[in-house]
Amino acid sequence: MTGDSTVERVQAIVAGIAGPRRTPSDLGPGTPLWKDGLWLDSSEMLELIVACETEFGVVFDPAHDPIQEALKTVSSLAGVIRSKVKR
Amino acid sequence: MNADPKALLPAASGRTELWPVRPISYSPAVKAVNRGLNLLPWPWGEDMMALLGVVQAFARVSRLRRALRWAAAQPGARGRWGLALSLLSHHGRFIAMEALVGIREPEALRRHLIVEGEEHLIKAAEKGGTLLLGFHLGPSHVPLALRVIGHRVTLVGDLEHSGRRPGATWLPFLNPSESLSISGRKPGGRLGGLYQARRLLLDGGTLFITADGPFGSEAFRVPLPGGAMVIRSGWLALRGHTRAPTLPVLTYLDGRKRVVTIHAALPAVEADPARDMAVCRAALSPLLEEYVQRFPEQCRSLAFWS
Repeated sequence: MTGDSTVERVQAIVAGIAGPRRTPSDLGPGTPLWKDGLWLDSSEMLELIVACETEFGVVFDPAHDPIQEALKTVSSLAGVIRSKVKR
Repeated sequence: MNADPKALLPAASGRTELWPVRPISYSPAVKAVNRGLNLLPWPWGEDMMALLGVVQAFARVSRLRRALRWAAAQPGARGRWGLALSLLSHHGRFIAMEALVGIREPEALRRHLIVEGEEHLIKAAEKGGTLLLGFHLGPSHVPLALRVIGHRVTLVGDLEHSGRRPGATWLPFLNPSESLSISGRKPGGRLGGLYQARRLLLDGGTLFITADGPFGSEAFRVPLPGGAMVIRSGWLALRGHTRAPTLPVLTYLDGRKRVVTIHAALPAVEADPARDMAVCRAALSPLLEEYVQRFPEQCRSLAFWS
């Protein structure tokens, strides 16, 4: 547990999308969402973004939010969500 | 992951250069030939490219072998060599058509266009977001064809043409801001286009996306004579997230006419994604089987790219 509820909630969403077979036992904030990590494809990343919008009540703005950067790890995604919730 | 912010959502953020929007998959030589042939009156350039498609295969024997292999796998009375040569000829012609060789203004495209099943699109678009599902079969540029007859269609992908600067009459129809790029090998790069596409559908827009192609993860395969068509998952995700009616669109060349057939919508979206995929597969398979049976000479993606 990280003690960061945003990270933990994102982690739970990610694990649900990747499924038990692809979710590493040591899934954590630094786990890559793509290469050498969960290997989410673009459709799954779309599912992740949509699920996060619902979960956190935010709307991503692809023209301004650094979505590609956000989708590196669980932690980076949580960071972008936190910044949007604060606004 | 690409850290370059310029790589983020190029079309959606309006950062795409207006030109060039050229066929990225073709060699500079093909592009140069297309430019040269573009000087000829229509359809001479297309005819020349059709001939070149055949001639080139005798220099590039691997392509000829693939064409013969494809032809041999097709049931029916057509001779293997005849079908293979027709396939090569269509391949060359489609490259010219993709580059709009000799087509100087939208009216020229409109004159040689037949759209069947347009009522399906009108009916669906009246109700809201509509997903037009295309395939790499037959001549390309379905979104462009639909735009020139008055439909506002956003393409998920990259508009391709010869690289030449078209006349002013083309500009409203070739606006890259009405394209959402999902090319690229990294899913993060493709996500931007998919996300924008979802938004557009939820806002009631009409979107054209191809089900097959080189990018995206595989959803399922449709077995066809000569090889299976790999169906990607992007459109299924969009369909699931938006519940937009999904209309399969197939296109073929009938003499000089480009025929676009818009089929009735696939069954309504199922709540269970696996079930929805199975339903779509069951609905699409007979359409694709019929297409390959009727127009095996126009299935260049299946013959050469699979």
